[in-house]
Amino acid sequence: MVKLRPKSVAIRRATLVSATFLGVILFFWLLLRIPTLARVYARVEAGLVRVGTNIGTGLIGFTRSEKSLLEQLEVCEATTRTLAREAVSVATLEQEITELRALLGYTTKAQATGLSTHVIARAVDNDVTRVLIDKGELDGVQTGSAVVIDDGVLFGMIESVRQTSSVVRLVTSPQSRIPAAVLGANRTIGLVEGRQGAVLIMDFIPQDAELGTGNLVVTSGLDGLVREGLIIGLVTEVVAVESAPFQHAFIELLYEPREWTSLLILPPPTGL
Amino acid sequence: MDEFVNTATTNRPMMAKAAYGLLFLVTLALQTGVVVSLPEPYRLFPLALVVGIIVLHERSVVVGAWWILASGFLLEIRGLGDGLMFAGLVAAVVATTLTLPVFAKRSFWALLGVGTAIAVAYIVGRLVWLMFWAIFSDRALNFGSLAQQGLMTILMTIIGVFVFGAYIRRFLGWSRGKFVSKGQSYDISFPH
Repeated sequence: MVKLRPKSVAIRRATLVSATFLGVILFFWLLLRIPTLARVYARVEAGLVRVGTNIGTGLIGFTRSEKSLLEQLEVCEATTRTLAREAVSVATLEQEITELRALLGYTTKAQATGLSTHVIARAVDNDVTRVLIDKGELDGVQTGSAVVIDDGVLFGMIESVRQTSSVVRLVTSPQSRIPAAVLGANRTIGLVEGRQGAVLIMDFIPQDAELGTGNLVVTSGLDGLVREGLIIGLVTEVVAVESAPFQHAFIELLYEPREWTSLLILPPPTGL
Repeated sequence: MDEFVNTATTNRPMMAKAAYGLLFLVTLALQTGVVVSLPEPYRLFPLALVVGIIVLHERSVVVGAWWILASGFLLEIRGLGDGLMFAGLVAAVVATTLTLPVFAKRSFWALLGVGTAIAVAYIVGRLVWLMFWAIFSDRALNFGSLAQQGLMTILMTIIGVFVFGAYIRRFLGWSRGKFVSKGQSYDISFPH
């Protein structure tokens, strides 16, 4: 037989529980407002993210079929061959540029150094569209700055900045719109937008532009917020309808956003 | 009147309440750190919601409802999702209104029932919020994909309650080996 309590006792206890949870919310808010405590908490969170990422990578490796691995190996080998050819060409061009600059007495602008950061939490959205990083206003982070991985592959943009943390909107987010260019014989420009899922779409490509699958898509820097030349992904499909004013292309990322925990924040080009 | 009051419960120290608060923060940190870093569909497992449902069913409706509401609130103010505050509010209201009159027994089926109802309310609440947001802003919304992943989240919640419910109860020392027999009803006040 369950003992019943008088209503007043139940109400008193319900009030206590409510006060406890309001206290927890207040404590959490204060924790994030005091920089020293927020940084300690961020370290704990960053550790949890690394644990989750490693477990996830292990799970994928465990469940991935041998056939799928072989297919991926073939793709990687093909990409390596292409990159090797391009590397030779780039090295030659770099040499020529250096010589020409020396002849012209050209002085290069100092490269702005990035600010290294770690992912401390990921959005609980259905698709990963945002991550929280451990650098904020106190570290000099500005809204709109580009966040990259591997010193040149665009990961996302700073959406909002708090005292000790910032929210990064990933390029895969449906709210993400980045002016981009397709590298090739003629530099085709367009706008890369996120969609639900990992595939991006590049829109507003002129009908006469020539592009094909495998072309590399980079930032064009036309918005003045993101520097030029950051890698976005590879064109996987081009859709051109004759009656439409523009053609569009599907773009695949070169990385899996879930697997990255260490990032680099680049200052806006104006700060260079 | 005094005979109805469990003195052991009234003298319960604040430590117990603080422990609930700490457990709540730990589940939230585990969800935003570990769970969401896993590949799909594991990343859709709503850990904080599942533990909230189990707390609600096993210990106290008030604690459970606050748990669900506060998790949505804290996730949204940290910028880790849109519409989560509203979803948490809807789920907490559904939890408090459905638990006592409909799923009052501490049976397995009641746990599954209340878990499903809260998960559906949470997802529907969020979709409604996102739909309104999409209408009144320029935000792109792929409703089909969101609904599909919402269904997956509901399924993960049910699996979570079904599979992990017993483990969590045992881990937290709530398990009495089996669910309470038919006829026993809820205590809406703080756990004892």
